[in-house]
Amino acid sequence: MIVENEHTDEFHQLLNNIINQNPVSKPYLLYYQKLKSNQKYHQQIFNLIIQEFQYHTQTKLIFQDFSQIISQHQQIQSQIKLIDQIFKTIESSQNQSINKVLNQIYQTKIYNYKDKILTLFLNQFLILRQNEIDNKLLQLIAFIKSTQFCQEFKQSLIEKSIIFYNKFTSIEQLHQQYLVEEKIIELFQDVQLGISLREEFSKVIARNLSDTPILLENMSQMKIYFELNQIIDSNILKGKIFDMVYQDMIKVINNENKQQIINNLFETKEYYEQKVSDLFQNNEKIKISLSSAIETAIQLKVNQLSEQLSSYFDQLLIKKQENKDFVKVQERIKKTLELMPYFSAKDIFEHFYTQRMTRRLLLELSISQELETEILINLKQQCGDQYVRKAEEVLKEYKKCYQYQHQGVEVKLVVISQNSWTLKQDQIPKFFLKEQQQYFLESQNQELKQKILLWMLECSNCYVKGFNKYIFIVSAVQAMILDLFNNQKSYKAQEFIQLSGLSKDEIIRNLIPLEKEKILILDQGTYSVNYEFESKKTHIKINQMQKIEKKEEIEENTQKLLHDRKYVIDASIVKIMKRDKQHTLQEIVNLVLKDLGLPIKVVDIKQQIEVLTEKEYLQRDQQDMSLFIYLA
Amino acid sequence: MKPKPNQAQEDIMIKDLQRVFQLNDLQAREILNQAQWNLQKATNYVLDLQKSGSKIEEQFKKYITNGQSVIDENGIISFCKDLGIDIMDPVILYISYIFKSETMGNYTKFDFLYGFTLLKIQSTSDLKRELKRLRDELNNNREILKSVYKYCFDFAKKKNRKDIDLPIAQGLWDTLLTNTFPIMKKFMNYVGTIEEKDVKPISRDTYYMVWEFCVQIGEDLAKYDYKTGAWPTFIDGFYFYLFPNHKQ
Repeated sequence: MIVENEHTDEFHQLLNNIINQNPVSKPYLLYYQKLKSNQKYHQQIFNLIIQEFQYHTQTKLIFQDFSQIISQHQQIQSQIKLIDQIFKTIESSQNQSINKVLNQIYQTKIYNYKDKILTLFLNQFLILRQNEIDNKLLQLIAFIKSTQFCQEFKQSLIEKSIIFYNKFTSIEQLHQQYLVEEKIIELFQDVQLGISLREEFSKVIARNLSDTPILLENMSQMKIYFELNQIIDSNILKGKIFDMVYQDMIKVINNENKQQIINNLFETKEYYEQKVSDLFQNNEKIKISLSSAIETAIQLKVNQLSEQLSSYFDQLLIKKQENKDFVKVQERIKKTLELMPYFSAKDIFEHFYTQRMTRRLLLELSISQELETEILINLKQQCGDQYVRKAEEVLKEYKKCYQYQHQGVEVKLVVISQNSWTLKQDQIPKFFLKEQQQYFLESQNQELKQKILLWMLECSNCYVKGFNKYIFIVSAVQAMILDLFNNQKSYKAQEFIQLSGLSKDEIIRNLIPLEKEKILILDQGTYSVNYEFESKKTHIKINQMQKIEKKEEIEENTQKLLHDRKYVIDASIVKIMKRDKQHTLQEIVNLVLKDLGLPIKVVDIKQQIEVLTEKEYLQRDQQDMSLFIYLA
Repeated sequence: MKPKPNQAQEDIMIKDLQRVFQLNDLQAREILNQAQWNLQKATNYVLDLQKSGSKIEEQFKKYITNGQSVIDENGIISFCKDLGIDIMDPVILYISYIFKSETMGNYTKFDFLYGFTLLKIQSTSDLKRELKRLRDELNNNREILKSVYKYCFDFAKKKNRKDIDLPIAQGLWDTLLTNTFPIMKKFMNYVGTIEEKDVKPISRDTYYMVWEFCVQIGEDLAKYDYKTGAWPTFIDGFYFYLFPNHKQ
């Protein structure tokens, strides 16, 4: 029992006032000084405070609902703080700080209500967490952190959080919640809790990302998607982009309309690139995923697509209405060239490109020779020297021509060196311009003697003198047809076919323009010369019907080129083995793939290794069955 | 002792021996090898063979038809009949191996002389008594089976070719391997499914690798790695036949 005296009494009053939240009449400083000057009462006063506080806690404190508990807590905290301030002096002489002791008393009391408070607070926490962070939540966390069962609370919190997180079904909600959750973790300042919560939350994000379809047009959603994907550093978006682009590309390359494929392919690619830049900040991972999806899809049909790419170039470079805008064409060519690495069937591309370029140049269909040269230089850098050599040759030589006149026909002979052609063309048909041919062979230029001449019907044209005053600029076949009328007055189409040995298509294709220009008259299936032909011009150019490249022809040539790859593979294997003497099969396969850079299947290389083994260029090692040795 | 001759020198000595006697490359090589590449020794050995081989020669003559110098297919049929075995019996391949016979469907006089002497027998009926032992050896001794199997490629091969036709290879696999290696039954099924247009001759490498496949992989196809295993495409084909999903 504390004996009350003058000093203690005064303090008692003070305490009562503080605890019961009555106004304190005198300034704290006074008590402070009093206490300081009456050091012998320290113990007494200390005990008094404890006692009073204890009594108060036991009798006055109740734990009802969340707000009550919180406000009560705040009160008590401020009371303790007050007392602590006043009684700081005691501490120097006492072992225990008054703050600590009072808090202990208070905490013990709270602890008695542990179960009630835990349930109450957890529920409250879950309600508060659904909104943005507010004061209440801050208070709640501060309170929990001060209690002795904070750890238990966190434990239950993790369990409840899992249930809570799992209720999320949209990435928008998750995105909002993410900020709240991060704040909560920050407030708790508990590493372990942070790890657990983040882990669970990430799982839910990952699941939701997987379940949410990618809709690139929905910009706001995609941005959220991207952010979440970045937050959990996942590959989900990457994978989804790959799948989507791949599926899209497959549709593009399987398009029935072959002319459109390359164009669509570029458009699709550009579309996605734009999206990646708009939505995903040009993220490296996603860019790689995009380009590998495109590449994988193209690889499925790389041979055909490489052919079509060369046709695409052709369509851009040929003189026609759509290509009037030179700058635009240049821009598109530039973009197309950037895509060359995707089209790895360089051999096929080269063949068709060279063929089509030659046709463009010889028929003067190319929009610009400078542009052609420029493209070749670019291709050279991308594909390597050997793939443009022939085209360069053509570009150098195509202007060289031999002109001569014989029996009214002026022949302009364009000669392209044999190496410019990857595949052999038909030889000059026997009957074809018989006299001209003979004349040509007789007076053959010394320079041409060394060369094998291949006849390129579609690229040839002749100047034919007719009706004494006109000069007709016609195709070689038309020249032949006109020449035939020197022998006979009328012909049936069938007769031309028989005489020339050319196909029906070819003959008809050449007859129609002649008839249209009224040089020939068609009457009941018989062609004869129109002797009443008249024109204001003396030089008359006959418009030609463009030969459409036949699908079968392209297909056939592609097959031939693919067949030729066997020799390319053989050469590469021998080159490698000659240099290195021995390699395992796996090594050979990899080296050949690297050496050639063509879309070859492993099995093709394996087969050629077998062929070379059989031909005794290589030998399988007797001990190590995967090792092959070069037999010099 | 003289150093071991190199490949070219060996070939010359084989030719030398063949100039004097009618024997094939395999036999000449084997005899010279036994004689440690001493041509004199080898010659003496062959002379001895011929001297002591009159009874064997009689046996040989039994199977040749009018005036021919070698036993032809008919002769082989009656030879097998005397031995009491089917002509498709694997043991006949082992006998050919012992004879060092050069081409399938023929036995020369020297084949008989060489083989009978090696087996220390004088007649077909003696050989018949040996059959059980030979059969046991073939079935139980892997090394012998391997040698016979490898020998059979050259045995079945036409002289001017480097490979054998698939049906012939099929016959050899069936006769020699299916009993010892159960996986070969499935393998034979696979070979049966190959379409006419895809049929290619079997190269030596592929033929030898089929043996390696039996020994190294056998039933345990989990060990088969078509990516790094360096197996011939023909055997890859078998693997994909069993596991179509693994094909890239």
